[in-house]
Amino acid sequence: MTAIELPAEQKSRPIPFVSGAKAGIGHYGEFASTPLEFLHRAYDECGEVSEFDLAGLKTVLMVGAEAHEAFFRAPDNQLNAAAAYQMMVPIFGEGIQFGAPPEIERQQLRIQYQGLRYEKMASYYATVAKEVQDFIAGWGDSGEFDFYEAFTDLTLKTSTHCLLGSDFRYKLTGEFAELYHDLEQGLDAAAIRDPNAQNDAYTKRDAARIRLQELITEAVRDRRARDFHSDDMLEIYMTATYEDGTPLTEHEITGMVIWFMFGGHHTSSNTSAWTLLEMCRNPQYIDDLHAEVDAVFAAGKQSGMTTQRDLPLVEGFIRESLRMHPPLNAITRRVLYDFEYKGYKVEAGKNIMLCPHVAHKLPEYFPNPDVFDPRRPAPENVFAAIPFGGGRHKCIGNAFALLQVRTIFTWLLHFYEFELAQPPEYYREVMPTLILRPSDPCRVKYRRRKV
Amino acid sequence: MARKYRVVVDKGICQGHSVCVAHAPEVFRTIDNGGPYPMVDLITDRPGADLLPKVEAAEELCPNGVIRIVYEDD
Repeated sequence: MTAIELPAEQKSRPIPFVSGAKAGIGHYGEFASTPLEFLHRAYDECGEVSEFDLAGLKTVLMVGAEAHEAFFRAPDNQLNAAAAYQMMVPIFGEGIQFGAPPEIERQQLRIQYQGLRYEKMASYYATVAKEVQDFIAGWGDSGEFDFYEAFTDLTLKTSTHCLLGSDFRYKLTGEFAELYHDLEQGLDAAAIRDPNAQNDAYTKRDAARIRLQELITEAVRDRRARDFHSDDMLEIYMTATYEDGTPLTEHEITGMVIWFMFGGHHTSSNTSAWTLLEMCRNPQYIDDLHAEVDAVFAAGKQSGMTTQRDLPLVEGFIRESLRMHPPLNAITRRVLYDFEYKGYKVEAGKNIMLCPHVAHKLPEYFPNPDVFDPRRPAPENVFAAIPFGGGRHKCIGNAFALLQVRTIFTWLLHFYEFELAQPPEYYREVMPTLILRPSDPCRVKYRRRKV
Repeated sequence: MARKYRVVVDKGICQGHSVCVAHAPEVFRTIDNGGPYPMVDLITDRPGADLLPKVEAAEELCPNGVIRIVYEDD
């Protein structure tokens, strides 16, 4: 009798362990200080599946479209997002999203979705276009600016305008931006292990959450006192109820606002920054870019709905920027019962992580991965590029983010041309929080076009 | 000659953005099954050849890559 040979991928095999673990903390030091370099090293050394140790939290990195698909299609009670993202709870608040039971989270997500329906999107184009016009109104014929700060400011305005309405937006003060910044600073690699540790950043984060609730509650009470209604997210939060008829509390309304802002703001501001930088680094495309946006203006569509069909090269720049420089680079789930993939068994209690920055450089999906190519065809497999995650927890704001960045560049490129203010190699990838951004100083020059 | 085709949707990755419904309402609708988002549903998986441009737009513009056109050329 002949033994049946199992295909290699069904045989049980041990998960390779990344070298360089230190006693007590494992790989935590390296992960916390240089997370991307570490994750690339893990892949280079071990391949598709590797394991490392974040001070006791055993984490398995999976890389590649097949691995991503297995991860994203696993049920939530097996690969669980809530358990892996507890660092978001102090930011959004207890009882919100992953700080709430799954049944409540599902209902809150249904409420969030109300603001992202396709019918709602149409109204956002004009709002974003209006903000970009105000943004460039004082620019004059030429100058230089810090594009990272400028896009952070611009997308904060567009997000709050679309989300909280014009009344809130035009009362927007520096205080709101600072509080929001304090919340973001509370999101570092250490928060993955313990978001409730005692340190200055987390103390500021918690104080910011309290103050934001005061500001948003003030806006809510003001609207209620005036019986004011508007076509924005705040209205949706104020009128929405859970399935048992209970309305959202002021604490929950604040949490929903922060949750939505966190999704929509940093993705869009960082993507805008990288997109502008890549446009400057790749001047060979500039004439085609200008021709594309000028055609949108000529057709009178500059404040209305556009798609990648109207702006294929602009869209290509945005998508290629998201491939090369994905804003979020640790997509994580907690394993609640053993997860098997190609004979590798990941035991309950460990985390599984995907890293877009590593995955987006695989030459089998992205030939010449280090070349920025805005005309690169999308890979056949939809799980190869994962800047917004995938599966049931994929960022539901992905269409909004793209429309926002597309509209920003439609306007910027129609009126101005841009060039780097420093040698190209001065602009590096840095990740001071969990979000990838270009290094300071982020300066570019602009000059008004003759159109 | 008009190409024969059918439409396949991957409900496991749909989040109800409804771009398909906006572009080809003859072919796509969404249904609320109590989950966090509505879910795409095919009114027909074999639309007529005249609807192909609309279905192509839906396939191309779907934010989640849910839709696939399978050509059935003889």
